[in-house]
Amino acid sequence: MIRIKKLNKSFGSLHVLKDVDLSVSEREVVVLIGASGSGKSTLLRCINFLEIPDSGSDEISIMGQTVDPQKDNLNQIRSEVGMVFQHFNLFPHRSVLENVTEAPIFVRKLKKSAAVDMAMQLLKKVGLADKAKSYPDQLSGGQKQRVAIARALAMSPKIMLFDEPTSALDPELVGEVLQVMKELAKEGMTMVVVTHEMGFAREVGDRVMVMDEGRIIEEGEPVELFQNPKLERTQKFLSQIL
Amino acid sequence: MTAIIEIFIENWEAFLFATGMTLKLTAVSLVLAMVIGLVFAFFKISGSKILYSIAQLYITVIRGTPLIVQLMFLYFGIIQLVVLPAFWAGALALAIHSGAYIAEIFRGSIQSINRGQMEAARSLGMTYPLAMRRIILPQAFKRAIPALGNQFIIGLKDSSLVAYLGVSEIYGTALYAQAANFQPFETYMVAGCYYLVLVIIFTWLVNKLEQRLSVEQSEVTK
Ligand SMILES: Nc1ncnc2c1ncn2[C@@H]1O[C@H](COP(=O)(O)OP(=O)(O)OP(=O)(O)O)[C@@H](O)[C@H]1O
Ligand SMILES: [Mg+2]
Repeated sequence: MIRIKKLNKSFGSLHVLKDVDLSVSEREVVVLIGASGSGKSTLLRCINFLEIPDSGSDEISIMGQTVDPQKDNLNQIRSEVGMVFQHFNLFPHRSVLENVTEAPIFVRKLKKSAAVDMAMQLLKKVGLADKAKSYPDQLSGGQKQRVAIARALAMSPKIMLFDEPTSALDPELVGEVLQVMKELAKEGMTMVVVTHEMGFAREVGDRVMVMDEGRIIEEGEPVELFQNPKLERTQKFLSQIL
Repeated sequence: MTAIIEIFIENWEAFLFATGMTLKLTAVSLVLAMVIGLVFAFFKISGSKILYSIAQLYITVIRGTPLIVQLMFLYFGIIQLVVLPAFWAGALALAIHSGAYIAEIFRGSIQSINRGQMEAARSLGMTYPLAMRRIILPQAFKRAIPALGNQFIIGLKDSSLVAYLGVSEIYGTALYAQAANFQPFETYMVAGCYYLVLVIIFTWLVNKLEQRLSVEQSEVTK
């Protein structure tokens, strides 16, 4: 589903991603961990081209199609890769329902009634059908994030990217969001998740990748990697978050 | 005091007509100014150095020269290019003036919208123009309302200078009346009252609008 070879990304003179290789197959759930500033968000943002990789990068292919950020229609690609942000980024001037129907109507050109039907289905799925008419500021953090997930799903993405979806939440609200993500994973969604929720990684993660200073330094099956990390850096990092 | 009331009664028809003129002038020039302001706000945030410089030059010149000079300059410039009645030339000149201030208001409010909004919109596959129109601008407009209201009040008062182009709005009417009745103090007092009442009504309307929008939604963005 995703194949990245020798991805590089710099901001000015700051070299943030260094020769990153990443392959994710269909229905796979990859968990990205790593210290703050190691480049996790930047990697996710490169996958849906919110950041344009440096021209030296070898290849990014999404769903079997090699993407040339200069030429290809990035909007088309973004519309098939869902993204969920740490700070939700719901549209505050639109109701919960409108947040979900906005892109299907204006990007996919769906009829309003069809979009509303689909949005209600998705809101039901994340347990928020009764909040359809509310505005984002009337919701708790956990509810906001579930709406954000429904909003991304409304574009029927083939891949979902999650950037620390629970780290802005009060501890008691983390569970409800993880629950929705676990269900998605079980339904076979291809997912790349930046999170330090080790329980989640163990339960649904197929692979964990550890980032450090712009490189993927270690990867492996979650239980194995958490118990016997090969590198000292990984050990050190895990001891901080476990 | 009685003199003032007399002047008020004597001239009420002329001033009523003049009030209509002032309102028309203000409305037309501010609608145009909003369009101009939006265009130049986009020039400033476009990322293009050339467009940015054009906008910056325009704003600097407008801010750095007196309105009456701009008005005369634009009026005589405009009527050389196209034949326009004084009303339209004046409205256009006022619009070019207010447009510079409104450009800065819009630029500020657009840039005050959290970057995450644009990112979320783009991540859903929206194009930049679509995301601007559907997601950023509605929030930015709402945030600009207090500053815009303020600019509108300034615009209303500034429209008085168009009297010098021969438009009989409130101030122009006073100018004409005091020359006939030899009572400048009282006449200008009456004119001042007309402006004051208009500004008070307008301020009240803006406050109402702000309240309604903030009830609809108590928070703007995080
Ligand atoms: N738009 C940008 N402009 C300049 N530098 C940036 C930009 N975005 C990220 N960086 C820098 O790139 C580096 C990696 O940032 P990134 O956000 O990818 O890290 P992260 O692993 O997601 O960290 P965190 O856990 O804190 O979210 C940091 O040093 C950051 O300051
Ligand atoms: Mg991050």
